[in-house]
Amino acid sequence: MLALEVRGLTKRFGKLVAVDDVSFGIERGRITGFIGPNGAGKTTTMRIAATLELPDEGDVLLDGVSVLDDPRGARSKLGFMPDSYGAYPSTTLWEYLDFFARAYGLSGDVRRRRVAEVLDFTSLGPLREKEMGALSKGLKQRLCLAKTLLHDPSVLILDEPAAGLDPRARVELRELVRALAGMGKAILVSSHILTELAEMCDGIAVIEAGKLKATGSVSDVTRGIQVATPVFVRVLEGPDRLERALHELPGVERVRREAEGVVFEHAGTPEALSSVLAALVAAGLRPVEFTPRAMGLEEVFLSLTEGKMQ
Amino acid sequence: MSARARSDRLNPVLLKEVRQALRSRTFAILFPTCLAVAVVFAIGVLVDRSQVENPGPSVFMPVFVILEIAALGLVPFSAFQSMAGEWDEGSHDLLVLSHLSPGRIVLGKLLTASVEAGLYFCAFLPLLLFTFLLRGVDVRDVLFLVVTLYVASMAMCCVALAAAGLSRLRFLRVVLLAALAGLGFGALVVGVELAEQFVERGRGFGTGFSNDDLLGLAFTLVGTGLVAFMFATTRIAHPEDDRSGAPRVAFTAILVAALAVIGFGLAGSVSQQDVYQWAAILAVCTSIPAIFFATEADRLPRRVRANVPANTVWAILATPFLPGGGRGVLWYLVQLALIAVWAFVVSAGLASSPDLHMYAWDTVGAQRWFAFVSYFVIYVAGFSLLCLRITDRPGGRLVARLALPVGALLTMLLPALIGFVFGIRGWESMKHPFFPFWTVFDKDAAPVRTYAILCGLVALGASTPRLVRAVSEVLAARRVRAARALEVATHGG
Repeated sequence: MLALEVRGLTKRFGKLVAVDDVSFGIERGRITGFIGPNGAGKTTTMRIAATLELPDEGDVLLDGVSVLDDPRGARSKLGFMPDSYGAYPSTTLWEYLDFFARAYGLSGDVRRRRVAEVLDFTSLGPLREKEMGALSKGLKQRLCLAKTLLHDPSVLILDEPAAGLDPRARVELRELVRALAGMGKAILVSSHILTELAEMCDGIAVIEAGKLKATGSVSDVTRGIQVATPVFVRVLEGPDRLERALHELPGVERVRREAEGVVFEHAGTPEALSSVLAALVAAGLRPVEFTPRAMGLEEVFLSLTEGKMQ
Repeated sequence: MSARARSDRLNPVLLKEVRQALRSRTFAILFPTCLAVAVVFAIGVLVDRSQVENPGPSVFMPVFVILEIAALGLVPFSAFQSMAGEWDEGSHDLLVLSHLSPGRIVLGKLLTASVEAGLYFCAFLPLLLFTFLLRGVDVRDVLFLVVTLYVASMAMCCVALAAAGLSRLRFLRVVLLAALAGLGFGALVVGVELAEQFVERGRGFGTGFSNDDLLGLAFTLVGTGLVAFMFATTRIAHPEDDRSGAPRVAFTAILVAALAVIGFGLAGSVSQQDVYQWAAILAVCTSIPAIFFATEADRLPRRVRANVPANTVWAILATPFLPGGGRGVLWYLVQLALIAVWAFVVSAGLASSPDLHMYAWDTVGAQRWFAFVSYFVIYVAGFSLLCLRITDRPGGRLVARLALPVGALLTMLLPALIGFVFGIRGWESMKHPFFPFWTVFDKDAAPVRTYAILCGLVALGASTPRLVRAVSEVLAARRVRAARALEVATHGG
């Protein structure tokens, strides 16, 4: 059973279709990056999954519990970290977590132990008596994540958790999210920092103008959209001879110079690509580098989306 | 039970807010300042009036006024800020996602306000009681005024919490805060007048202030507080949750209590006119919440559909108390029916007395009341029908809620203007058929009453499809729920 299952979700705001028949799922222990330009429908989808908005059509199941039929039941499975975390400036970290632990119905030693655990997990223990107003943005984000984990949810929805964080805080957050996936939690995370997501996520869901453009593992999505593999080649004889030789070979397209080598695109099988290398050697060229390049998440995103705004 | 175990039972919002308040500069500055000002005033007045025989009242009043400022101004303001802060800090979503119900959240805020007010009262009470030793002030009067002020403070806090939940826009909240300040000032003036009556004019408890007055005051304060509390609760609930069911039940409960109290009070009355005048007053009061209920979006919210009673009879009985504009009109009609039945029963009771039978709620009395009520049926049911297309949107609902009372006022005032411009006799002085009070009270208006009732019936007739839809939607939801329950029972979910 999928831990998070989005089924045919549609949400309209007047004439605007913010989310249009979106479906995807996340298994336990997997992290899925939710990618899309501003106004694509990411936050709306996440808020529907978090029971804060209602769809016009479709449903979201959290561990099999419908957010429509049983929002209270769904909330106990869910940890939602919104893009604007709620802070109480004159409250200490411990008081903040203690309050939300009480709000989630934890009592006595269970509550105290759980607060200590999440403080420990997020490495905020030494700061427990510090007031929230004095925290940096990175620490506030970590505190918000700690709050999200208090009731030990099986599904985490993180809306732009890395926004505004410095590189160190981003790395720390990434490690925390990975650790959570290691604990078997299904995680849906949205971010504009695609390199960040690429290093963190097992899968992606790309949305634009309310429509889901692609979903699956990063490599599956890349394979699905990639028609030709860019290959970087460098030979001892220099780029001029190499460029001329490549132009004569079958299956080689879009040859262009890059640094001291040449990049070409090849749409064939790995065997055909291997024969290109063999042909270059047969032509008397001595390759020192022959590297097929995989598409990065940014290239995938740019290939899939058209920059549509709504 | 240990202190730790006891703290587990406390409302989490109360605990969090008290912790915050203890660190807040606002309370740390305002509380001692108020107390210091009160002490300085008391000593000043005492020194100034040292030669007066009974200086108690002179010392009591300034101290009580400062306590009033704290109880009706500072504490409600603090409650308002606390609720508004949940929107501003973005913590509202986090609270909603927790296991805290909207009722517990608002109750936590109210309890915090009660603790804050309690601290002010604990600090001021010795000063106020001290005036008893100065002579001229009765301890009972002091305690009565203090208890009344505390209840009034809590009612104001409920109003403040409801006002803070009305809008997420800061600009609108500033306007609401200004309105709240105006209300607080009005309450303060009334409180000063009441205190003067008690301690300065000697019309204290048991002399100038009757049990009826006490009952009326308690009813007003508790009723206002209860309604505001319900309203605040619904404002932080999800739009697809039942946001108007609790206020509908609360208003009905208040109406029934009011009918019982007034009926009890009228038992010794000798005039049937009292009965239909009260019935008319209550109909007007009921039309105020009815404006809000009748201008809700007509459709049944999705999360409410899942909770419609599975039993047909219960579903039908619950229909007026479920959210939706059509059901709001239905709720209003139920309240009017309750008032009419009450008036009939009370009149019959009056008529059964051999000395009073001539004052029974006769045909003329009934006709007057129904004519009067017809106007309000037109204002609520008829006008809300015209706004049906816009009530699906929050902005549209706001427009409709303004349009209904403004439209009613215009139908009363425009004919007067037309009468003034075109010289129609009587119209300029509001003696026209669009003014319900003239129709009811003027003896020349008897024929108009029949037309008013007919127009009311036409408005009701036009609303019939909407009312039928309101009921059938509930019944359809009941059928779906029953079918799902059957499916779960058959296939085990």
